[in-house]
Amino acid sequence: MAYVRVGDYKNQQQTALKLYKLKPKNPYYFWAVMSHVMQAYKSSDPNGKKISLLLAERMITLFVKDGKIDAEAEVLTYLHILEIQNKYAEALGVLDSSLAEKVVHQPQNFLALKRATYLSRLSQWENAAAVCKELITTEPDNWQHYVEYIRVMMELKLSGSGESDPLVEAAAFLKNHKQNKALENSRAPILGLLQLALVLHEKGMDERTLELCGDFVEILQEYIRGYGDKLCCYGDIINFLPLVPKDRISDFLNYTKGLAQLNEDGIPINVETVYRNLSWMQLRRALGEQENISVGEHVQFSDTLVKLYKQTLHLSSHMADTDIRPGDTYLILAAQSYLKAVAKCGMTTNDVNPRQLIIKVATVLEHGIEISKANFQLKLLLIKAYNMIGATEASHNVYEKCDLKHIQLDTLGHVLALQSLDCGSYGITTDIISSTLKFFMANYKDTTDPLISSYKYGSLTSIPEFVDFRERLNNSLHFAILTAEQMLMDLTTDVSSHNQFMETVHQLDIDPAADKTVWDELCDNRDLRVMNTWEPLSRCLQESDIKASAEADIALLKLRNITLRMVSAASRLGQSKENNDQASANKENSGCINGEANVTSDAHLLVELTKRLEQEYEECSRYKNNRHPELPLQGPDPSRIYLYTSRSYVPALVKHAKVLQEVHSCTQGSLGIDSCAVEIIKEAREEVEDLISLHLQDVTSLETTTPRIYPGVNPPAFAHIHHLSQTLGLVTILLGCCFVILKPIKTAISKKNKKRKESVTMPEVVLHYTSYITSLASELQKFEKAISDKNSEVKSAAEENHQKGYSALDVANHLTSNEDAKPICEKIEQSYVKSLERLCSSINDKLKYVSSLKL
Amino acid sequence: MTTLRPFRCEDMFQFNNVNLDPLTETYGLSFYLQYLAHWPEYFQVAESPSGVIMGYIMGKAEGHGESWHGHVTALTVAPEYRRLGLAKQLMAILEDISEKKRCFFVDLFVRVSNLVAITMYKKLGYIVYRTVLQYYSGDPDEDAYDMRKALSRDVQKKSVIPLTHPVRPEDIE
Repeated sequence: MAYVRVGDYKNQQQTALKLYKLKPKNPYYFWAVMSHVMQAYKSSDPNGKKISLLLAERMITLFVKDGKIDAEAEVLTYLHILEIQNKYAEALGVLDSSLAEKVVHQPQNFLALKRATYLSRLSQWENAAAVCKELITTEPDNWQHYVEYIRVMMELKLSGSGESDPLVEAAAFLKNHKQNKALENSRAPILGLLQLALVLHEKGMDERTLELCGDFVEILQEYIRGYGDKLCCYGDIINFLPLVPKDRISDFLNYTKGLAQLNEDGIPINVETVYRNLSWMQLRRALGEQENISVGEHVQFSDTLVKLYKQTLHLSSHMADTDIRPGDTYLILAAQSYLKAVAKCGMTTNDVNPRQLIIKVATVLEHGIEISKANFQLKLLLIKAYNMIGATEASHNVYEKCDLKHIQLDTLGHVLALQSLDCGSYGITTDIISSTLKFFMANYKDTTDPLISSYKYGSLTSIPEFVDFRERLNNSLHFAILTAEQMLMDLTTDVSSHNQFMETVHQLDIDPAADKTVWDELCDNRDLRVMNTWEPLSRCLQESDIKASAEADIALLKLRNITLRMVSAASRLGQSKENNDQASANKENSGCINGEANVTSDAHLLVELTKRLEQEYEECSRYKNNRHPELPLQGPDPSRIYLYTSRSYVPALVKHAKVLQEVHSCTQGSLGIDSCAVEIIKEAREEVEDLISLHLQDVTSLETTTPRIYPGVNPPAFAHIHHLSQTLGLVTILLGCCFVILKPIKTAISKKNKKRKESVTMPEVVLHYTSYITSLASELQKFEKAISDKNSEVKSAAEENHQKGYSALDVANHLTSNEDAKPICEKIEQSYVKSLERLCSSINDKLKYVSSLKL
Repeated sequence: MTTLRPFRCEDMFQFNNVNLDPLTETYGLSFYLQYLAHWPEYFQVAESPSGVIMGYIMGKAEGHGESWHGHVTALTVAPEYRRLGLAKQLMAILEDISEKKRCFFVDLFVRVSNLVAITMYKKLGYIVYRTVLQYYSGDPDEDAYDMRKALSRDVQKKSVIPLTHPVRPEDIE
């Protein structure tokens, strides 16, 4: 089993065979078989793969011949091996043999499903269709049988081999099936005909829909008549909506609307009619009826929905806390529309005030969550809303209510982890990142024991799946990003001296020479489909959006990883001579005879990495010069690279890395030749001073007093401040490394001065460095003061707001009052206070660090 | 209307719409994987026509002699797919496999406060076999009902004669 732990399939197989020879038990034998399969699975050589699988197959056929097969798992393994070799005829042979009788513990349809799959892979369409038909008859509510049956019948048609028209036969079967009285409560028979119409459409045979299926819209209406009072109705028919002809949309929607029984005030009278009413609303959005409405109309519509929510709330008074309320979807639709209005506000002038509106959305959603504690859709929307105004401490409150754990930290971590980092909510970020990284670190261990169990209990076919799963987690993009961000945080957030930096970088143990990330294997495991949306298909999140967003994240990760390696290389130059010797003495296989040789190679590495950083930054021009794409609400937040490359954070780092290079090379050569170093110090200094003054405007632009917060303004402002702070942290580190090199030189010259009692000129590099450090300290002081002033401003504005009872609020609606919004405003303001305090203390640490670098 | 199929590891990347429900616990990876390794046939998922996970069931077979039984470890359905008979279908699969494994009965634990679930299980033929005191940890701890349904092998229905006294979690076999 030790071989299983380390994935050594060859040794596994040999050990298993030895065991089998000692004690001829089937599990040992099949362990060896599966080891062959896994060797094939992991082999990159197609021939080796083929041979391993053949060997595995032969081992089983020998066993079959000798009549030694006795367990279900053994037959399943046999089928698995045949399947991965595409040997479907042989697999069918197994199903037809007595071996099939050993499969006794699987769900009823197991063998029939296998048979249908094999027949279909062999293009034996008629036989496959017969099996599917049988499956539909025995399991009329199992949707996969319909999809497969229709697909197979279409293939039969296209192959031209059927005697009569297979499509006519399929339609007749489905219609007949639909009319079966015994199936009155099954949803699938009606949808079967819609699926046929969809497949006809996909194959360009729309002209046959009417003849074969009947009127498409009428069938859809029949479905809605039957099941429009269920919450699942929309999800069931979403795939078929693009087939509704444009000129019939209006009638179709009117019909759907009419199915909901409302009282004379237009309010649904019971839970069923709430659902019917909602089905209509979802469909009208999906069919594009609300595409062209104005901002004002969006708000008006949302207000109506909130009112309906309130008016139907009594219908759920009997419900348990753990149930979601039927009318919750009114609130979700409303919040989405409000947020759409917020997003559109910038483009038009109108009487809608997005500053008040965002508070209204938050208040309504907070209220909805209070009533419907189980509704995670409301929670996810509220996190989005708070994130839009950069109130990530408030988002965190809701995030905690989602109780995300284990794998959810990977799939849903994207909702807050990096947003809170960019807003300076470092406490929250640390919590989220540390629990997330803990999950990923445990992955290997957590998946190993079940792997061993699979061998033990004979569920051998799970093994490749487990291995893939483990790797998908191991290669998670989120994991890689958070690992890098955590290290950058460790190095830059609270580091206030060079010693502290050296300790931290030592603990982090970053290898400057190599990056272990397997870039081609990185997996985007984000679950971006969890939020409900009823947008028209064309406006929903597309696969291409997701792919582009992951690519952008990867580009940023490359910059981050090189930065980390660069810092690590710099740290080796920036350690005192004693430490340096110590480090090289400790280093195994370093290939260096003494500390000096080591330093030279580190210096070389620093040069290489600086170049790499410049190159990667060049590669980012498509992000640097563009605005991020506008993604639908349920999509990910814009990739951070757009903002990160919009200002010269990377160039500033590059320049300071060059400063270190030059300072270091000065010490290697004669001290007089330092004009290069002087030049680059000047450039670096200018870059940083420009950056700081640019970011003072971000501090000013923060809108931190409710209700004067314009959505979308604070997050980029905070993110810029965070990136500046982090860049300054890295810059300080690089200057710290210079300090360690220059300090002994300055001391030596000063001693000379004392001895000779005459003045020896200090090298220019030392003078310029000293002057830069002094000015940087004063710039940092200025920046710290700006943040601290901003924080005082927020605090006093919040206090004033509190005293005046938030009199400027105008967010009352049918559900919540201005009074309800007050605690929410307080929460938001407090969030800013915390962010600013945290950013301020981080800048202060840098100031301490810089101040300690005076020569 | 559903596609019922075996649960796959990769479903864990997309089961949030089910697992974000507060009553559905998200376990560590090893928990799911051990079930997939030991009892893959007992771990089934229901998928909607648009590919959304509607719910799933995980279970196992355990016990000795006449207490050899199928056990429902988790049964959950996403909010929008409730009251469609999905739980019934998923339970039917588990009961069918338990029959095939020659189990005597199927059992499950449910919070005494979860009336919706208790009523549903009763409709499916389950009875409250015993109360397990403070089975669910929390503030305060909550009792569980151990509910059972006899399978055909238990001809005399001995497994479903309710106990008259509650038991403590440590007394459960």
